[in-house]
Amino acid sequence: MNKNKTHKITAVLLALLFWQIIAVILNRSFLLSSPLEVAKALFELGLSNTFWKGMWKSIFKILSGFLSGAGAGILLATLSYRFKLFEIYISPYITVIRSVPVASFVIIILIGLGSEALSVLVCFFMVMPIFYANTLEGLKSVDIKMLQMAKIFKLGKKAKLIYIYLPALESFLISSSVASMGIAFKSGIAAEVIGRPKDTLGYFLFDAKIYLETSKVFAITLMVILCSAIFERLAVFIAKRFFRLIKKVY
Amino acid sequence: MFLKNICKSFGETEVLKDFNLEIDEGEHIALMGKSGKGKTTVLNIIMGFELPDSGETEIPNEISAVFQEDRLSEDFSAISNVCLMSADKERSNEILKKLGIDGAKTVNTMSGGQKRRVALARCLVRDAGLYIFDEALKGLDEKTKAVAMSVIKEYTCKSSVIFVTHDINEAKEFADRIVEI
Repeated sequence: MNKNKTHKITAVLLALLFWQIIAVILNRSFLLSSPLEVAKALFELGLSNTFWKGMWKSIFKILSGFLSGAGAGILLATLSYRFKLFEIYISPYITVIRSVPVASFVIIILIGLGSEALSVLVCFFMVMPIFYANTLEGLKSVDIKMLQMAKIFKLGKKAKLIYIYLPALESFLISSSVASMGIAFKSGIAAEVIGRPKDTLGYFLFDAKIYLETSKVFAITLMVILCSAIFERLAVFIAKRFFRLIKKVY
Repeated sequence: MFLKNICKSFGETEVLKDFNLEIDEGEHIALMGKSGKGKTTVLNIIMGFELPDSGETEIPNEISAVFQEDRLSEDFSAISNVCLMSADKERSNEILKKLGIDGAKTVNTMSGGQKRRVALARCLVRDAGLYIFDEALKGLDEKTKAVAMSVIKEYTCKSSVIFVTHDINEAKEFADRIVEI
């Protein structure tokens, strides 16, 4: 094991120890549960079928919002890059979507559409502007000299996409995935806490809060962090694989 | 092809004034001149990247070029870059081989000289009425330069060529005529 890894593990263990000490000093588990209590709550959640079902439901909704937001962001950015007027006319909407707080989105959607599609839509609106901005920036960063080369050699649309645009977009799309996956999970769960669609992680979180089950709140939060980290890495892995495959195939 | 009485200015700076150039079919010319004299502007007008302020032009439809920069898709293999311009993989491999390049190698792992030869292969793989070589042999050592020169001659013998260089010996060896700008 290298030195850095040892330090990282030690840092985590020290943080856990620090947490345990503070919890013991406070001696109020409803204010701050100890790591051991959280581990126990986590184990209990692991045995509950309802929890797993709710977790998959939340994940499915958040990922649906993420994927549709990413797709829409890329599509709108492509249109903005292609048609300058489109970029001008869409910019007020993007600015508004970017600036509206998650809570306002949640309430507006709740009034109009109810709670079932809530986390999907909230994630969509959180993810879309990130992909839009990054994709547009990536497209605008394409070297004009490469486009001149494409013009001289009369490259087709497919060749231009594969050899010029995708390589320019690679880092922008990967950074979008990293930035927006975490945000999707945070905003999706926040939306579920406010809207309380039945049997979702947000619903369980709110219930745990009502009954002052702080250890359960911590345990669910830990699961959300874990899911977010796993899917963030998965998104980056898939994106990198996709670009590597393109380079290998062509 | 010809450029007749071409004028081109960028703001207050007049780069070309009544510039004329005529190249017969199959003729090879070397375009020479100091930096800033307008060589790149002439090439940009021929390639359609810039429009002249005034003057007439007649330029072939099919142009192939080696630009001053390599302009390669760095993450792809040499053969991918060359095959972009022609589906004829056999011809692509043949040219790369003559230029001493391993087609399977990814461009971003290559030296500057190797990249230059990939750009050269990409240009030559295409059948064109006019070939433009903008300092195409830049960065090559003498031995590689000689090989590249003979490959260029072999593949462009029936087409018109504009060969931009600062090296008078290169110009004399390659061109039927030297045009000073």
